[in-house]
Amino acid sequence: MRILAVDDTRANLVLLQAMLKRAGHEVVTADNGEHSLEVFQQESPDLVLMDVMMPGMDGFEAAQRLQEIAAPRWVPIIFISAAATEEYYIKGHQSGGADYLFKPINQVILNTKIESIKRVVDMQNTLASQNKVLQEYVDKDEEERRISRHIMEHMAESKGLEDPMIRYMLTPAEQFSGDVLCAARSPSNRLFVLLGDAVGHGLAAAINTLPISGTFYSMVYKGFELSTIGRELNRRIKETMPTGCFVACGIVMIDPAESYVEVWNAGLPTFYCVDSHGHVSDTFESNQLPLGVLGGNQYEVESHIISYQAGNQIIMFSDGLIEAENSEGEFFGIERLLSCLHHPENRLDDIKHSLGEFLGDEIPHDDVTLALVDMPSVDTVASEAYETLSDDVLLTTIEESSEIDWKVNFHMGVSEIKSLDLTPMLLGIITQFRGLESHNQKLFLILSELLNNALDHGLLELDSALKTGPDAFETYLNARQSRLREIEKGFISITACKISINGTPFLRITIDDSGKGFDYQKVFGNSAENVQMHGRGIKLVKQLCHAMEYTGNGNSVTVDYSLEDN
Amino acid sequence: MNIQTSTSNGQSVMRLNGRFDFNSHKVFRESYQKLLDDSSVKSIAMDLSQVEYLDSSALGMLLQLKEKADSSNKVLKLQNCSQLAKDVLAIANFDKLFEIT
Repeated sequence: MRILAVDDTRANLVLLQAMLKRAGHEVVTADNGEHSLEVFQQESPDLVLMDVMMPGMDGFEAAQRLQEIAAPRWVPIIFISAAATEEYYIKGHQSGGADYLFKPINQVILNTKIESIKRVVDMQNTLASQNKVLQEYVDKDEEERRISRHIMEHMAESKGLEDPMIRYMLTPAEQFSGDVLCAARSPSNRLFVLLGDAVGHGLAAAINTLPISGTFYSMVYKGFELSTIGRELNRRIKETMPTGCFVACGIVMIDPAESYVEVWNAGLPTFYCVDSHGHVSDTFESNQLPLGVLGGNQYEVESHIISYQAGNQIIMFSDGLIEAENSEGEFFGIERLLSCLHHPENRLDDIKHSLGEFLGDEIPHDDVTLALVDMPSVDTVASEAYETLSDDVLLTTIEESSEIDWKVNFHMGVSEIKSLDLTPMLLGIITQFRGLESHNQKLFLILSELLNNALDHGLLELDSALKTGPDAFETYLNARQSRLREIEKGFISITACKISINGTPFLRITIDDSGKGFDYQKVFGNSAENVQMHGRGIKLVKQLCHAMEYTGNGNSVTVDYSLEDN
Repeated sequence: MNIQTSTSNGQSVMRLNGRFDFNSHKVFRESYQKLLDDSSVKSIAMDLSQVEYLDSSALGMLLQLKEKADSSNKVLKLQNCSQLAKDVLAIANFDKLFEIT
């Protein structure tokens, strides 16, 4: 060991030095209190032997100063004095000394005391190095969590949840949530709300939810149907996650424009639709396996459709809510949840309050997530979006143009029509041409409306009169689904080209279908009637386009959309 | 959770007792691994009558076991499910994957 010996008497110091060297130690010396501090800092010894009675700074004070300098490390100090009094002995220990030696010094006792202190020092060193490793581990873990949290927060964008039609709560059981809640509007202003609950909780579960939010947002923004989104989510989870990691998931889609609601529940607790009095009008039980269990080809999304009733609300939640346990081991349960719904405007607060009161000091052991999705009488988001539309006069004839920048044509047979989500797919291709990306939302509305008309009224020969009356949309969609299954031949052809007319750039879209067509002159003769019969959709197309013309039997329509202003 | 395992005529029964959640991961895995490694075992029945609690991690573990049992050609079934176990399995629609009695 390296030992610092401190004594103001030269003879004592020489003697002590000789004894220590004989025992095999390395020795450094100091001849007073102040000097000992300097030597200590330069030599950093393992042990200090300190004479008590010294002029100036005495041994006790020097010892205290040494400990302060060395902190947080503890320095073993053995005091040496001639006065073998109880008072000195106690004061020595109070000043941070490890032991006491009385003069004259006995070599054997000195060696024994140093040996015993060496054991303590060794132990302290081992502890310190283990502590350092642990501290590094803690720091690294902390840093990794900080980065993970940042990534999660930024990947799981929450802007969509600020939609006026949604109220929600998200309470993770740990730092990271294994529940995910996302909301987004499609180009036609349908509201999609997704709730996912991954196996377990904490970081591992949070990682499971990552592929969900990314896929969900990008597909909703592109205008895909709920069933297409659900299938893709299942495929992504199955591909990226190990066996045993699955995600219970549900989506509520509200379409205020078409006046219907689509709900899908794969593995979550039953969702409820309640009216303004809090009475349950519909329930949506989980009817499918959670995501990530079956392979991509085996999974078909089975959703429920109900009609849009202003004032109704859909309630979706993870099992963490109803399985929140109080100190008696009792679950919060469905009954308590449903009893909080009498006041539509306070529902979220009432649920939070009731849960808080039920739990008392207990903390839920799983993530608790709940979303209330409204069906308002007026969708403020959509009405704001359409206020900006121009009232320019629509031309009903299409001008010839010889200036064509590019032109593409798609011919879709029935099997493609049955299996593909046509609008987002075609739009995804068309908007890759320069300058079209910024028109994405308006082009989506135009293309989806024209394609739906071609399919529903052209190929499937559905009468739009089916759309009026109570529960009409549900009936309409059911009829559409069964005819789509039955249809065996037919096609829809889509041509898009970029042209210039008198220097103004236009996107010209022509859609032909193999259906019988309709008497467009008769239908468009009376403008009031045509608004009613074709709903808001075709009215929007007319507002968005510069020109629109039906030709042939009415089974060919061409529109010009100006690319000049945005 | 504790697990009692018994085998007769190539038919094994794993009787699960207590809370079946993530903390049971190790004991569950060790119990079924012995049965999977035993070539005389033809079928494994999971007795869930004494399960007090079952969470999604437990369902994940059942899925893992099913994958392994399938690949070693052993039949896996869930039997004597308590009401709670039945409810949890029903929400997840696991009856589409497992033989449940």
